[in-house]
Amino acid sequence: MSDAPKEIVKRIETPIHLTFQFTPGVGASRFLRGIAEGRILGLRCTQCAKVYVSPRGSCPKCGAPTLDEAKVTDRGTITSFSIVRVPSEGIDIELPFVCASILLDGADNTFYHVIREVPVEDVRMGMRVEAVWVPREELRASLESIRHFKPTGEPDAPFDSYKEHL
Amino acid sequence: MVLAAGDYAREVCKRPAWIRGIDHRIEAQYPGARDLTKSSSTAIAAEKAGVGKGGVDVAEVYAPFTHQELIVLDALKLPAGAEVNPSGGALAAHPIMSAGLIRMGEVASRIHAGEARRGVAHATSGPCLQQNLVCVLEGA
Amino acid sequence: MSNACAIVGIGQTKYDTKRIDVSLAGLVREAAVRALEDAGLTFRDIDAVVLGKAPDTFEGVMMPELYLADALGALGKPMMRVHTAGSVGGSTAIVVASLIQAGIHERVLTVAFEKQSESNAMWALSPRIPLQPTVVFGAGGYFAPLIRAYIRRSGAPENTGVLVALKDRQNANRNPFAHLQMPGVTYDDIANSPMLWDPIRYHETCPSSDGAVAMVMTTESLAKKAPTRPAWVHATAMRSEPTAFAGRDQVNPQAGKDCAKALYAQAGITDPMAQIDVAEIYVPFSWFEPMWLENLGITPENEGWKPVQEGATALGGKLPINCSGGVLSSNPIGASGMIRFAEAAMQVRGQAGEHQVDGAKIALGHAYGGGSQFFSMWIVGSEKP
Repeated sequence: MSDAPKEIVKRIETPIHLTFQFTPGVGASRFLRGIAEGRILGLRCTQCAKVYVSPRGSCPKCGAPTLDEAKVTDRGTITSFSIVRVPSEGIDIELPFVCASILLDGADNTFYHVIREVPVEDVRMGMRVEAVWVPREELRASLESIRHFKPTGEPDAPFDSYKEHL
Repeated sequence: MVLAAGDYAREVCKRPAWIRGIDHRIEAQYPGARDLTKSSSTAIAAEKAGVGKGGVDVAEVYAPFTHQELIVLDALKLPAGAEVNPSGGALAAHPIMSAGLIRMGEVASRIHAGEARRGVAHATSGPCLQQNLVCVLEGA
Repeated sequence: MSNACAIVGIGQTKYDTKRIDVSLAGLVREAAVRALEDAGLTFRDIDAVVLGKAPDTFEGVMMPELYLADALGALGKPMMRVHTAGSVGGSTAIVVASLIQAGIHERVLTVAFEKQSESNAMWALSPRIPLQPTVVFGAGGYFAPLIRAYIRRSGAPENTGVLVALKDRQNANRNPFAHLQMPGVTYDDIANSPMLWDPIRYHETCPSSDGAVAMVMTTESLAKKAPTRPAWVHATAMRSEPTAFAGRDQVNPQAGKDCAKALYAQAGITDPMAQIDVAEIYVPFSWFEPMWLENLGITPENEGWKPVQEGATALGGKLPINCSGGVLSSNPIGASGMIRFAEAAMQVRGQAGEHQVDGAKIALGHAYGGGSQFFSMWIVGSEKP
């Protein structure tokens, strides 16, 4: 055996792959069923009466169940946003794009989605937007059934109308 | 599980299950570096938690394989007469990360019900019983 | 009344993009051995080991405490792992403080680490579940809209973030452990760097780092025998809140405000700006400095940018913040919170070298994690409380 120092082994690639079977639960199941039918369903907290979109079955603030269905439209207001100019692994949206926090009409919480069909420089806080759905036959029980949001052309919502949702 | 201190526990619970001793210990990662017929970490934890300081009416041990129950019981040095795993233990239900807490809950429930005065709960983690916890619970 | 708790040993690794000269075990051991040397102790003297670590997917090692028990001399001892997302380093230190304060152990070794180069944190932080569209990637994508909301709400001058980044980069040049070293960095270097997640520029973000930090904490009687000056724990606090609920103020979260209030009450602090000599706060994107100044009650709401503009948070200012260069200059995620806590302790021990604040007696360590939802903080002092 040679006494010459060997280069240390620095890296070994060890891929890990997992497929999860996600159980949405009772509350989210109702919401996802609605999405598969092309409509957005909100659920109302039995205690504070706030309406959650993409409900998990209980109110995160009160811990009470969200049982009653509430009417939520697929139109809403951009409460804030960022212009994404950096690529990420697994994301195949053309750069740059706007990722916005959206407050749907009739809902009390916001969620993130992509804004398209408008130059990124023209996107504003308060801008009114609506959902662009996949074709009817491609609808399924996933939020990916909504491709993106686009401006409605309505006047911007005043800051005071969404400042509690930052 | 809800834990509470002193007077508050007495106020909200008719027969609280008091934690009289709790300890946990870890061993080497590689099974080949240990004597797998013994559980030295359980033995240290049992001694520190004071298992031997009194009689034991009930013990719940976390043993997902039958031979592990024998090894753990050996290390706990339970006095004669202790009923072991009346719940059916991990062999009957095994949600891994809850299985240890279930053992404590099962012993506490026996004490709450007045069916046991002193009990021992055990939990484990890691390959071949690498890490072990022992808890001694007592009624009033 | 709980027992006093002191920090008697601190050890950090060099932070870097890829520490491929050491394994995960080698990395944590590097920090642990330095902390033990600082305390004049060996592994044999330690009663228990507590490990802090962000999600397992960051390295692909599930339950790393099982693997690292050997390297940290924990065999036959109690060992546990703490996990509260990015705030974990702070929470871990608080768990250790409580073990000492409650009289359970006398000398505890605590280590927090991350080896981001072993996996892909951006991937690990990007949830793919049917209840959320897959549009937000990494922490930058998540936090950028909050920063925009802060700027709109506070009316802060747009260069506030650039000023914070410039200060932290200059501070990092004084800290040999800091990952990013940018000698001669200028305002224009930061301001002209590309937008990544508008309004966040490249030089206003934290790097991905490998690294570990360790501390030895002990009782009053043993601290008095320590070879170097101890730092004393004056107060600790943790608070949390859900990621999203109706009307949640994510820019200035209630949990952070409550946490700071509880912390100051314990430490007897009524005017944090005047009474705290130096602070290490968790700022992964430059704008979080003014945001946390408000959340911590150090300035009134919408005025956190003022001390930044006045230079009050620079070394030599009224309340120097992140003299180490902060998270902006080194971000081994699971360790980042504990680095803040350790740097606060180093300041009151007079141990911070080139980035020491002269005569610092009271220091704040702060960490947050998740979607600005887990908070952990401590106040340490040069004198026993």
